[in-house]
Amino acid sequence: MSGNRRIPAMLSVGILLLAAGCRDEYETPTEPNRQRNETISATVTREPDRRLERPHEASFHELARSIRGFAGYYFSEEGTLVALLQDLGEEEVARRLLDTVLRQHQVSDRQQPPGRIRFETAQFSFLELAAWRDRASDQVLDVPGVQFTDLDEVQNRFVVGVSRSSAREAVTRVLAENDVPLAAVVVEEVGTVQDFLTLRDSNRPIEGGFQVQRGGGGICTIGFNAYRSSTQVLLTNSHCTSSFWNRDTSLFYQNDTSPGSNLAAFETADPAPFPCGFFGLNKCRWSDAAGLRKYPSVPWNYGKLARTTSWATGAGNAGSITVNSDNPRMTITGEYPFPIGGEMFDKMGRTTGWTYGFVKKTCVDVNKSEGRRLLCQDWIHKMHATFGDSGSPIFRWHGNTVTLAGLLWGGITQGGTPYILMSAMWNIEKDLGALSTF
Amino acid sequence: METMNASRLSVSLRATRGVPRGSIADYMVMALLLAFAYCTGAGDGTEANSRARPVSAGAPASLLLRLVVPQRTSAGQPVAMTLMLENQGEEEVEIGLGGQPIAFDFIVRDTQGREVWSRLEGVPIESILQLRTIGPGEVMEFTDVWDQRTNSGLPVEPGTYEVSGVLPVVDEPDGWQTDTETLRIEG
Repeated sequence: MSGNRRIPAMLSVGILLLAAGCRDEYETPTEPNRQRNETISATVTREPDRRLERPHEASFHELARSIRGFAGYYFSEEGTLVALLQDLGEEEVARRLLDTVLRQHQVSDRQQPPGRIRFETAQFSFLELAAWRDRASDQVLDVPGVQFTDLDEVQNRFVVGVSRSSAREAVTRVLAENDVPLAAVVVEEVGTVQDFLTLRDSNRPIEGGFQVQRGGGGICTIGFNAYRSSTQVLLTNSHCTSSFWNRDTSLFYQNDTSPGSNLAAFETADPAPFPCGFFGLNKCRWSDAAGLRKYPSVPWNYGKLARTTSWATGAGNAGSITVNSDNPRMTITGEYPFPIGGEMFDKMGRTTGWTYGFVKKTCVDVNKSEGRRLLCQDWIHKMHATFGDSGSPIFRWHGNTVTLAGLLWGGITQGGTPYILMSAMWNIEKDLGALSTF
Repeated sequence: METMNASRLSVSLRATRGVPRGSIADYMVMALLLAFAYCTGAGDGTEANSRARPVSAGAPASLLLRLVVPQRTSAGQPVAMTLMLENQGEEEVEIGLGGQPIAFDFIVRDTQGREVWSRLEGVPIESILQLRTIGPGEVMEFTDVWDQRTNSGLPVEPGTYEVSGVLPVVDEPDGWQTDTETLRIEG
């Protein structure tokens, strides 16, 4: 072959190499040096949905290009890297590549330092299982009673979790329709997946700390339940109602205004302010609090506040909003009339959860818009709160019991330092009258 | 015992659905803003309209935030400032704002980067969460006027200042921030 005739051939090879180099990293995973099953290749060469790419599996795709019959790896509880291969003859190649993985793997102090690789035989390759999973997962998940699907590298199977055995038949049919070999599938029976309850969720009986929303209005937090005379009321901020410092009977929903049975209460106690200041030109009250009359049909847990799984302190640090399923509430056993400088208090709010901080300023008169003035409010620092936490209960924490101290209503920044603003129990009862809270 | 003061504010929602950028309607809005600034004596220079920038890495890409302030003004004159949040996408977007009324901030710094004035400094903000929907093409505007005084209430010196706008939103500790704009106060 002359030199001239070689040029087009070389160009063709170059173009092919360039084209190969341009391909996305794991767009079309294929098995190296292996006679591919036609069914699999038809699937793995299709254009993947980029929105469903799983970066978690990128390293498996990478290794599958170089190791024939690679089926994944995992770490045993002792820290040993367990690699699965269809052909143990690939062990040498695999060990060379997995050594890098092992060296980069960080183990806990409770585990042995890395150093061991153990090989096990696999029936199916990673690429086969991934192709079957990608092809059938959506339809399988649509079957009533299916809780999850999983490419389980430990079992070397495509695992389908069902919450009732009656789902098995439908799952089997869907798998067959998608040409997924049943030998590659394990159907496991599991309980129903339970979402963790959070402070933003609907919760009955109603307790302090959970989210509340005014019909057509903003989102706040329920402070606490109380009896006002003989009326059952939920306490939150007046600014969460449709008219500040004015009884307006606005409707409130727990947790939100979505259709259903969330209607919980209506405003019934939010007294008008009294004249104050220079020539009585200002309008004053002692608290930003309002009482929402609970509908009789809505159950409540009188004297209880929600308890989440963990707390936090410091500006910007949110606590947990997930209710502690083992110990979901705290009992109010007393009231603090008003705080003293330096005291530690906690709060439970729908946005930033359980946080605590320290009283920085006490009995501060605060001007609001339109000549309104809040008398004798307290400032707390190092307690994180933000929008949605209005109405949160402020309390002294004693483990399973709390002493109620007031309601959070806002925040203020001074010299770059954020503070939480609260109305103390004395102030609230000065405005709304006597409340029984425990 | 202490006493705090809140400042005035103005919030409005402007719909410009279907109006292309740079159209007559946009110029009319700018003219209205300039007229407002003239009527209040707020700045006698041209408006500086900061580059619209995505509000946050985690927020919908269609939301753009920008700041409108005069490029120069005379000492002692009130300075009108406007924060504009625009949905340039085709889908409506729900955003979590806060305060009653909605809280927003303007921050003025000197050339050394020291904060001279912050609209929300020492202002109590209610912690109510206000979910708002901003439709395609809609613009939310937040306007206030700076009286050229520092956080301590002292008049500022003529000179060059950097202004930025902040829209506090739930779940974003630093809120959504604009680029800074230069404001020259002439003696």
